[in-house]
Amino acid sequence: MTTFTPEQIRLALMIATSAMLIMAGFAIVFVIYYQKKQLEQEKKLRDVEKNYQLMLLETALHSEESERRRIAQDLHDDIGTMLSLTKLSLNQLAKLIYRDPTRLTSPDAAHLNSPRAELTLNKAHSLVEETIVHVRRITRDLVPTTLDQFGLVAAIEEFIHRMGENYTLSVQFHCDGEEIPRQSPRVELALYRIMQELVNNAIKHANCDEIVIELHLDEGKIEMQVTDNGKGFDAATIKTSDKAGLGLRNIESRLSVINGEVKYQKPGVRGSQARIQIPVEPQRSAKPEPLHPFRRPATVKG
Amino acid sequence: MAFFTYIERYPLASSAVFFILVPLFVAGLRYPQFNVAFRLLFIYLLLDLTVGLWMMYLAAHRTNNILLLNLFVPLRYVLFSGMFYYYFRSALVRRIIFYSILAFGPFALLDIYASNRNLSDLHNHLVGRYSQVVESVLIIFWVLLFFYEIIKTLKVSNILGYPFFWVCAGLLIFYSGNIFYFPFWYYTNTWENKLQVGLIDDLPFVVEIISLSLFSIGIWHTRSHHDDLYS
Repeated sequence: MTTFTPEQIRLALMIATSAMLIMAGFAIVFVIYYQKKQLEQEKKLRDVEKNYQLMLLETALHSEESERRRIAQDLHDDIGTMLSLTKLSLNQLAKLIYRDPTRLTSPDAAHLNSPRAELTLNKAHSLVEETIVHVRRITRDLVPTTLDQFGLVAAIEEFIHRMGENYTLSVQFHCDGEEIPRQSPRVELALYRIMQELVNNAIKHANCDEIVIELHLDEGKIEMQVTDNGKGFDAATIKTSDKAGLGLRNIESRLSVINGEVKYQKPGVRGSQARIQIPVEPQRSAKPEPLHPFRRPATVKG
Repeated sequence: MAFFTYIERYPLASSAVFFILVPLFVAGLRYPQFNVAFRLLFIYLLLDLTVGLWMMYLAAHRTNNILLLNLFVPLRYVLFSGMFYYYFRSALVRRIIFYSILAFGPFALLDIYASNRNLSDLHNHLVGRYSQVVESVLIIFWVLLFFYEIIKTLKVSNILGYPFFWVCAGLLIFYSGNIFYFPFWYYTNTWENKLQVGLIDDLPFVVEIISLSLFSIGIWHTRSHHDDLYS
């Protein structure tokens, strides 16, 4: 039987223990390194997925705007033209009737010379005019041409002006117009649509009689606040609701594309306030571009 | 007086005992944030300090203190494996840990009896032959299994700030440093010590100080860590 000397045992112990300690140290370092590496990869994957989702969202929003433009263009070019022609025809008809009444003396056309016929003609005329006004308003709502040409501040002012025509509530707009630089079309459009959504929400749900829109620069960010004096709401509860939260989710979707954020708070005992912040982009030329109001995006033909 | 003489003669062994105060002090600061696992670690540290001081006292008065160590081994395994029982969520792993606790207690007692046939002769009492080795294998296995879970689940965002990782690192260092040395305790810890292993004799104290330092880091990190491996 082999017997080991104390020196041999000492050496064997030393080697075995050192090897074991090295392996333990290696295991610890490996876990730290591998876990960090895996997390980095997972983060990259999440970023790719997030970017892809953003791209999808951006495409969806872009398609929505394109569709709005298309409908606006169809309304303007087809319906608008036809209505103008109808109005013109009615004008000509009126001239025919009133300038040459002898033509209406024949027994067949006698009923056209009655006061009732004149009334009907006037009514048709005013209906056509009213329809033209409505079509123009719908077209303007669909595509805010002022936004493209004169920027966000002018577009909001125009929007408020139109609100004054239709609603009996006070809408105020405070802005340091000179300070707000022109942003890219998608940023301005997103902010405009968000403002529209918030104001519409306030009118529809808040039961308010005053809305204040504020737009200003704050530490390298454009800040827009929409405040109302209505009954207020709990954003967290509404967002979880399937139907009611759609508008708020739309706002968040639009903001995620332009790297913005929204906070909802209660300004006082009553009312609600939405505070939107987006980073300021490099300054865009203030000179208005010569745009056709309903131009389609340029396509390159191969 | 004998106590202080002992400290003077065996500074490293004494330091390892007094070093337990470091994680205990940190544990005192962090106790409100402790979960069940860290409360078990706290109990272990308290017991380790008590047993360590008691053994030092007995050694200083030339009294065999190995019975305390032998009884402390199964208790230590119960506390450490209890920590893993808390951290693992797999029912199978938990069941295995539970049965290992049930089996290890009787095994350790049997090992003491097998190593010391005449239990009434406390003066010539010896360290159990196998229980510490088995304990080392089991704890190293639980630590490696836990590391595997960390890598697999990727739920821990900052592993260096994850408290139980440091505790596992401490356990791995402690048991890896001792696993080959534990079998020799039976032969080296006797009155007539015929086997001298030199510097290796000090190794348990060194690895204990390292593992206690790692425990302290883990306990310190319990302050603001909320990652759950299975959330």
